[in-house]
Amino acid sequence: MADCPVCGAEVALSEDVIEGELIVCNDCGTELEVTQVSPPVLAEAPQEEEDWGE
Amino acid sequence: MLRVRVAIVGASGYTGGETLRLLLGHPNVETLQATSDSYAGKPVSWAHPNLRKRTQLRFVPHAELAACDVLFLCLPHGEAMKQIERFESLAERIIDLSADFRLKSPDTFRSYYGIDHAKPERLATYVYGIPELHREAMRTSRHISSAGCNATAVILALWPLFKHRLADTTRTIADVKTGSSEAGVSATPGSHHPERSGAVRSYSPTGHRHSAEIIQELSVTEPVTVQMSATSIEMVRGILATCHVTLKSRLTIKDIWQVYRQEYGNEPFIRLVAENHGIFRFPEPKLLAGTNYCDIGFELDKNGERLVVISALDNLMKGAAGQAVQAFNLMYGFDETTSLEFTGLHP
Repeated sequence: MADCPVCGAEVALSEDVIEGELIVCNDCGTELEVTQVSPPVLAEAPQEEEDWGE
Repeated sequence: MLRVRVAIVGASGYTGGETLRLLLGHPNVETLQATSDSYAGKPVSWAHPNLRKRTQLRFVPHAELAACDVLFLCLPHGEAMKQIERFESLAERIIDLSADFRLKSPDTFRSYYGIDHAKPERLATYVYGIPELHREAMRTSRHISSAGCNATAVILALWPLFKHRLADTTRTIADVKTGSSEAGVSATPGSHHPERSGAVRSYSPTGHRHSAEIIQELSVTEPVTVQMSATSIEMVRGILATCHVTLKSRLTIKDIWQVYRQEYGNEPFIRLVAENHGIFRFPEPKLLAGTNYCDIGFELDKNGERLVVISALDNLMKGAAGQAVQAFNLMYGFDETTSLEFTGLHP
C-alpha cells in the first residue's frame, strides 16, 4: 500500500512492483509513478507535453 | 420472496412515467396501478411510448384507486396534501414525490409556496427522502417525502462540508443549470420550442423554492444560508450544480478528499469525480441520463480557502423517481440498488 500524493487514497501495489511502474489511483484517476519500492513512494506521473514527439 | 402491491398516483407525468418504468422491472413489485384522469382507460404507453410492449397496463382514474401496500404520489405540488387522508387510508406506506411534505415548518412552506399548508400537523410524520442523509429513518418510516431535484444536487454537494463545519455558514452560492424536463409534462409559453431552444434563461436568480429544503437540510450542525440561482439550458434531462464555498480555514485538496470519502465512500449512488485528465474531469449530466447516480467533484483555489464543488444528476432519476425507488427499497429492506443498476450511456 502507498498513499496517492493527490487525493490521499490508499493505493494497492502488487508484490512484484518495480520502480518506474505506472499505476492509476482508483479514487481520483491520477496516473502515478512508483518512484521508490521499499518503502513504496508514489508521485504524479509526468504527462505528455503538447509538443511531444515533434 | 416478498412481493409488494404498488400504485402510482399521477402516473402520466414525467416523474410518474419514470417511476413506472423502474417499478415494471422491480422483482419485488407484484401488481401495479397507474392513475391518471386525463388518460383514464388508455394504455400507459400512450403517455410513455418507451413502455410499448413492456406492459399492457392501462391508466385508471384517480377515483378508482384501490388499496395497496405503497403509494407513489406523483401529483402536482399542492395536490397531495389536500387528499392525504384518503391516500393514507388506502396504503400503509406513502412516498410523495411532490414538495408538499418536504418542509418541516408550515411558515416556511407558506413563505416559499405562497399558500397555507393543508395539513401542517402531518409535516413532522414525513422523512425527508435523501438516503445519504436519512437512511436509518427511512428504513423504518411509513411516510417519505422525496427531495427536490435541484435541492438533491446542492445538498449532496455541500452536506459533507456543513456536517464537518468546514464551510462559512453565510457565503455559499449554488449556481444550478437545469434541463427542460424539470418543468414537467405540461406545456407553457416558456417551454415552446422557438422560445426554449438555444436559450440560456435565468429563471430564478434568487428565491427558488428548493432553497428552503437546502437550508433546512444543511442547517443540522449550525444554521446556514445558501443562495441558489437557477438557469435553464439546452438540455432535456440533467442538473449541474456549481457551488461556490468559502472555507472557514485553509485546507488542502487531500483534506477535501478525505471528508468526502468519509461521508460518501460507501454510498452506492455517489461517485467522486475530480480527475486531472480526460474530457469529463468533473461531473457531467450527459453521462448520467437514466441513472440514479449523483456525481460530485471539487477543485480548491490556490489560496486554499475558496472551494468549488460541482454535482450532477438526472433530475428525473436521482432527482425524483430513482431516489423514490431507492426509498422504496430501503422501506422494505430490499437491496438498495434494485431496479436502479443502469450505468448510463457514452457517448
